[in-house]
Amino acid sequence: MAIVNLSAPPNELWQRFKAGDERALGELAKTHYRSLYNYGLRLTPDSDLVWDTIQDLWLELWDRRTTVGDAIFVKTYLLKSLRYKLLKRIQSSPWDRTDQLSAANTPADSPIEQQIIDDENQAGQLAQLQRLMASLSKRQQEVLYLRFYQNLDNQEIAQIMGTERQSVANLLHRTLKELREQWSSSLLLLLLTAAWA
Amino acid sequence: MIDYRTYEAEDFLLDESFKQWTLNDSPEASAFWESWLVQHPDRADVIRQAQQLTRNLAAFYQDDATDSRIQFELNQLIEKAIDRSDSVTEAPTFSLWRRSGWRWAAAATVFVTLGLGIWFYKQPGQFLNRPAGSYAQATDQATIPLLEKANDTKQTINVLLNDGSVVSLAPNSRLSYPAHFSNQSRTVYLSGEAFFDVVKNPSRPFLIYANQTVTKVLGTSFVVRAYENESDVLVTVRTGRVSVYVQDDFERARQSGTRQLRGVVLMPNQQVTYDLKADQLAKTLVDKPAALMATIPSREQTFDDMPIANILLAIERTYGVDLVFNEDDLLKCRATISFGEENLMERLDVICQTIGASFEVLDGQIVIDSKGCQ
Repeated sequence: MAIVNLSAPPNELWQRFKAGDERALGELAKTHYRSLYNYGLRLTPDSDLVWDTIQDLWLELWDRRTTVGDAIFVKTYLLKSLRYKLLKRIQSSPWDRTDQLSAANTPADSPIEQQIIDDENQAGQLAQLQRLMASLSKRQQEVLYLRFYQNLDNQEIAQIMGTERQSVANLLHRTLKELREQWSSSLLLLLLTAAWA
Repeated sequence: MIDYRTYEAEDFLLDESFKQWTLNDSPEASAFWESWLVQHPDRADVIRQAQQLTRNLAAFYQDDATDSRIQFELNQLIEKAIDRSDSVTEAPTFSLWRRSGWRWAAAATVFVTLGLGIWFYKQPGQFLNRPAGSYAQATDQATIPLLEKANDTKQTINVLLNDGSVVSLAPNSRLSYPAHFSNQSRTVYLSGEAFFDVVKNPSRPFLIYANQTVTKVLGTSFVVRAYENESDVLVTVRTGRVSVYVQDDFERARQSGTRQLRGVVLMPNQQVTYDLKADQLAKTLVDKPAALMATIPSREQTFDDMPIANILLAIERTYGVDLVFNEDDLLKCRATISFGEENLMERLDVICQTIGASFEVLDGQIVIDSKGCQ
């Protein structure tokens, strides 16, 4: 019962959206806007391109609203569409970017980061994590991101990345293990460096 | 129940409840995890490491999008979506009178600037010279009797229409309107400049005839600015939406029921220029919308714990309309209200609902029927 109740509001919203209700478009877009933008930043550091692409994504969806499916997983569908559009634009742009999966712009005044920067040791931790993430492959980074930040399950991640559920599971398992092991050893190193200084 | 004893740090990273505790400090999750830690002191290191990683990952994934930026993007999206709905269903082919798309709640702010010799009015004898679509000709041909308000003063005057809409008429301007609007539409004729605060009524569109153009209001509040010595017509939207048509086309469509109609739907910060000679409607962006809008009176009002009677008096001044109410009664009850885009009727609705009163428009006045404070 609880599950039915939980899934009811988004479906109703989707139906209203399909019927051409702009307020439903607004609500739907509001729900997903930040996570779309955040995902876009994983694919390109060009934030203007991400904002533009998200607008186009919604407008195209709006134009096709009568023909899109009734029972789709909206979030997965949106993330997948954004990924497809962004990667296409990045590839077709003359100044091709070498590193598509980049670190997010992390402003120093964001609350979570502030909390970390407050402590010098923790600032070192974040730098350490950044180095560590850069050592992962793009697919590893993406799978970790979709699981950790977007809270998607392996099936949904597989859909977005166009692969099999089992390969997502394997990749995720390997990535997490690597991350934890290197994290432990790098922190140890960090502590030693701090002791010497 | 999940057995967290077998969890390694990386497993905790993906656990929703663990993330809730670590990142959001949610009370439920905190209660659970703190007591879990007490029961499993041997896992404290693993937990600490998992928390460290979780916090750092969250910081790593942090983005620079502010709430206001997202709101800005959302507003843009909705505007564009509405624009597209229009271009699909309204222009260039649509049935003018059967369309039911009047669902725009946003306030519309519009300017219409138009030309044509004011001397037609000074020399009414030259009747034959009146060009089609002029103010004089349009009012002559109106099917219902019209009242006319001409502002010969140096200040803006207010005209209350019988649907509750308020028109602020600028100097050297005139407005013709029926004492009672018909059931199908609310049509007025303007020469000069005016600020309109229109009561929304989807079944009765509000139409402004001004120098060979017709502006159809899809929103609730807008400005029409019209000068009769220029060779083109200008309509500018501040908020909300309006449609602008060439009058000939509009009339023809109305009479024949044709589906072909040249029209332009305007969104905020867009304007249309109608070139009278070339008979062309051209849509452009407004260079300096703020300058054009400077003449619109601000109607933002904030009342902090004020007697209702004083609030009504302030509204009376703001809109320049007569409100009839029992002042003694309404001095006793107080309210804290602030108004932004609301029009006169909406403001009175809010106040009357607060005190359980009702109101109606009677002979150019608004009569408020209250039974004290409730």
